[in-house]
Amino acid sequence: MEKSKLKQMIRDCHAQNRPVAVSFCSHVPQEILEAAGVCSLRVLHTDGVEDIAGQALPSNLCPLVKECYSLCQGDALEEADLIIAETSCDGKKKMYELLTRQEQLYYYQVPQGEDRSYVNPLIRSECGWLIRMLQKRFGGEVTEEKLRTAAEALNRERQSVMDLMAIQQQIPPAAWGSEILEALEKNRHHLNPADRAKANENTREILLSRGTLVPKSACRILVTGCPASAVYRKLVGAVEENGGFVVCFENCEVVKSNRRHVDTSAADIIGAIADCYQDTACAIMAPNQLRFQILEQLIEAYHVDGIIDLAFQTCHAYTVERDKMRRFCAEKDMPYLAIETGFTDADLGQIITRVSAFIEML
Amino acid sequence: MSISLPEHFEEFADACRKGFLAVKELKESGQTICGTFCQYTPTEILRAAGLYEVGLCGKSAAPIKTAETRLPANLCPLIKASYGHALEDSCPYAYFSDIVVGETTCDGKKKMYELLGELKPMQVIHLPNVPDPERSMEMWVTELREFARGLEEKLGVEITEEKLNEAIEWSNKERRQAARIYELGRYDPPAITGTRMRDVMEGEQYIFNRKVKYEKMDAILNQCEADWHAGKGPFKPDPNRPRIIISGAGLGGSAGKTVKVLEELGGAVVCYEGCSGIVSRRRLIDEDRSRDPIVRIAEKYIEVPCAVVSPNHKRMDQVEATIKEWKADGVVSVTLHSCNPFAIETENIRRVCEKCGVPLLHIETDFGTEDQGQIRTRLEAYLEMIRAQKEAHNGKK
Repeated sequence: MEKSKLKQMIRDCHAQNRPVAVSFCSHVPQEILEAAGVCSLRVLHTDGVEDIAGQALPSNLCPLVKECYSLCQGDALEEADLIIAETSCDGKKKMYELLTRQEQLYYYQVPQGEDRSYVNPLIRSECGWLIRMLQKRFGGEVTEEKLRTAAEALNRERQSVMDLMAIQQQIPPAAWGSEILEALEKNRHHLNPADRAKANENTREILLSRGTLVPKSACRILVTGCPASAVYRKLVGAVEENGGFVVCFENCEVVKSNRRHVDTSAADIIGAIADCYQDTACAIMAPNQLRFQILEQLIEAYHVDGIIDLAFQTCHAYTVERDKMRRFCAEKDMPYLAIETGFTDADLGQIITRVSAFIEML
Repeated sequence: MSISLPEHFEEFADACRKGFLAVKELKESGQTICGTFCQYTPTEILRAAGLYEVGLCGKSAAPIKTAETRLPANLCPLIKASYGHALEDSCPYAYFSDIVVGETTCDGKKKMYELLGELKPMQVIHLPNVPDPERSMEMWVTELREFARGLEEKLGVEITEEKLNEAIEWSNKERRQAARIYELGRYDPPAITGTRMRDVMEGEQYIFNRKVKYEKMDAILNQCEADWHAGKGPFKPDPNRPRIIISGAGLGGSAGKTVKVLEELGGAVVCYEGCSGIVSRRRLIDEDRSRDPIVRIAEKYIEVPCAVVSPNHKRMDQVEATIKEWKADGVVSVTLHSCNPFAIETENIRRVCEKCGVPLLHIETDFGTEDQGQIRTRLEAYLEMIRAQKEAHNGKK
């Protein structure tokens, strides 16, 4: 997304008298924000943002954290009413503390793992704090009914992303991976979950009725690891111009967050929301067995030929988990390639060489 | 004949080197050894479980190569060295540990512990991310209870309230004593060098008889004070000597090229802030025996001002208070390569220093020797600048 578009979206919300909450992570419970009458924008990679991270942050740091800093500290989000500072990874949570517009922030606590008895109550309790803050800040009441309505809309959006991804399960697949990612990106320009869902459903229809352009011989590559949106052009390009295509994105923007579901029929709706967000296969969780369970299912469902594990520099959560991923793939006899990269094109040549060698080997 | 101060100090400095023999003896006498990494480790619970603690934080560059066969290269050297030691069985303390306790202090460590858990019996304590007691106390108390229960099951011991109370009171006593070591730095000139402070605080981890250790520490403290009053302190009076606070984490493997050099160049390290610094020694555990000991322990440890919690206002307040109380002229933040929490938080420390009118120097380093010369040059320039400022200021008076 372009910075100008992001700013325009915030203004459009304000024109409808809706406050805007920006978040950068799949751990942030969007249902709560939407139920409070807030437009919840999950911001991914944004083009046209001046890089001012060097003013405060170390240079050897994840490019995504640096970009978040530039977004929040610069003018891109100056009109946003709220930024949810989730304590997911060290880099991001400490970066939030350096922002000068602290009044714009709300610190939302993410648990350290999924295997403790109190994790669910903790998420519930954090949801409660978030609700009270939103009510105080923006007025309006967060009712059970509003939570259910929001959860239904977001469930539909999540399902629409999963359905769109699933068209790749066919042999040959229905589309290039880049087409799916680009469509998702474009459809994110809508302000409401319902509109985004509709757009994703439309994209799916169009791609399915169009007939595939991908040769049957192309190797089926699954991408896992860090959020890929900023580097998908160079990574997916390297795969799809060299005899492969991305059959599935396990990353945060696609499967990791959208496979989750809120049980809207549950008597305790906040409990159901907590269940949904606890079900996040994020490397921040220790241990993170879920990621491997999901991959096992995806490998089968998508007939995967090889896995590319993407990580950004100093994203210790994903780079340290790489050792387990490597062993997991070895056990499954699944060819595996780890790529550590940043947002610039400085390593483009190297990535193309490695990816094409990997695909050739398949 | 009484033992002289230098001999006392040497004993502590040697404790690190000789400690493994002591651990071996403990082990042979049937004791259970627990390897630990962090300020967050609730030592009271370990002691109540009858465990002897040894620090496992890697300080050497040697095992890093082995570690990098499994861990990414662009990772904190402390994490790599600690794991590398366990992987190649090159650290006697890790080798003798019956159980290892880690905390989810940073992303790198918590993910490394998943791998370390494949090599050693481990228990990992999950920390709250937000240090607000209202929001996190309940989970934190639950976590500590589950941790204690886990130890009981693993080791077949019983952690009684009585034992916890005893451990709390002993640990408080030791904390008060440890704070005094840092407080010797408040004197002008300081009554102890920063290098000696470190020797003592590092060495004390490897003296396992707590009574003996307490008495030895006491002897050092009293002697330092007596020497100072007799005009025989380690520093000659010099109104322009830069008084420096060392801030940051994981100093173990880099003190030689930072603390030691800083004092060789005419500065004085008057106090340590951050990991194993003054603050954790001053915060005691409530000794009211009518209250649940686990809750009291939780209350202390949720206040650890580690860079890993957000927002970490407490640390900023403490840095400011420490600068004032120790009359510091500068803060040197030493952080390890790719340590995201401490490196990023250094920017906030810099803002506190600016407010207090003292300069901050940030040194990012590792356990190697390549940057020795560069660090020396930077420290030299930094100290010269402070000295010139002090001279100008004192000259005016």
